[in-house]
Amino acid sequence: MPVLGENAVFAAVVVECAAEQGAFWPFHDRFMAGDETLFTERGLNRQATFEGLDVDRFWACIENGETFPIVSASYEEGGQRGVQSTPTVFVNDQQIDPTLEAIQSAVESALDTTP
Amino acid sequence: MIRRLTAAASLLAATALLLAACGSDEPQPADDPQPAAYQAGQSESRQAQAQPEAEAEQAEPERVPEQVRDRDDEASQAETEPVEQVSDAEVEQEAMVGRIIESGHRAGLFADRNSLGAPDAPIVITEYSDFL
Repeated sequence: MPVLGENAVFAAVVVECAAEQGAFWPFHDRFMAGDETLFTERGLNRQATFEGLDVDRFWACIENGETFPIVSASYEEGGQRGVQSTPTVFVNDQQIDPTLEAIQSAVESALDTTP
Repeated sequence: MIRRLTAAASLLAATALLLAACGSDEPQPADDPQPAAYQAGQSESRQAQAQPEAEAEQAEPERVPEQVRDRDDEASQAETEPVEQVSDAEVEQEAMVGRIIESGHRAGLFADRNSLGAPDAPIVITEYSDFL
C-alpha cells in the first residue's frame, strides 16, 4: 500500500509485476529489507534474473504500469477500511495494534470464538 | 531505468500529440485535401495526379468532404476509446475492492498472489504496509 511517496508507488508496481510471475514475496522481502539497488535498472535486472523471471515481460509490465490499478485498488481498499498509516494490521477484520503481543492476543481470542 | 521510463514517456507524449493532431478541428491544408486512405497505394507522382484529382473534385464535390468527415469520425472514435477503457477499469477496480472488503480479504484480488497459508484458515491476518 503506497502511502509515503513516489518510491513507494514504484516499488509497489514492481512487486506486483513480480507477482504476475509468481515472485511477489522475494521482491517484497528485498524492498522491505531496504535494498535500494531495486530502485536501479541493474538491480532490478539482477533480481529478476535471479528469481528466474521473464525479464522482458517484467520490464514491459513496469514500463506500461500494468499493475498500477492493483496498487491503486490496494490503496483504496485500505482507505475504505480506515487505514491511515502503515503498518496497520487486521485480525479477522478487527484492527489491532501492530505489535507481536497484540497480534498474538487477537489470534488467541479469535481462535476461542471460532466454531 | 530512467532511460526506459523516459523513452516510455516520450512515446506516450508522441501518441498524445498524434491523437490531438488527428482530432483537430483546424481546417485541412487546401493543397492536400485527400485523406490518408485515399492516398494509399498511389505510385504516380503528385504532379501527375494533380489534374485528375481536381477533375474528380469538380465532378463529385461531395466526395472529398465526406471522406474527410469519415476520417474525423474515426479520429474521434480513436480518441474516445481509451477514455472508455479507463472508465471500465475504474469500475472493475471499485468492484474488486468492494468484493475484497465484503469477503474479509479471503477471496479477491490479492488472495492468490500476496497471501501465505491455507485460504480457508479460520483466522486471516491482513497487514497494510508500505515500501519506503
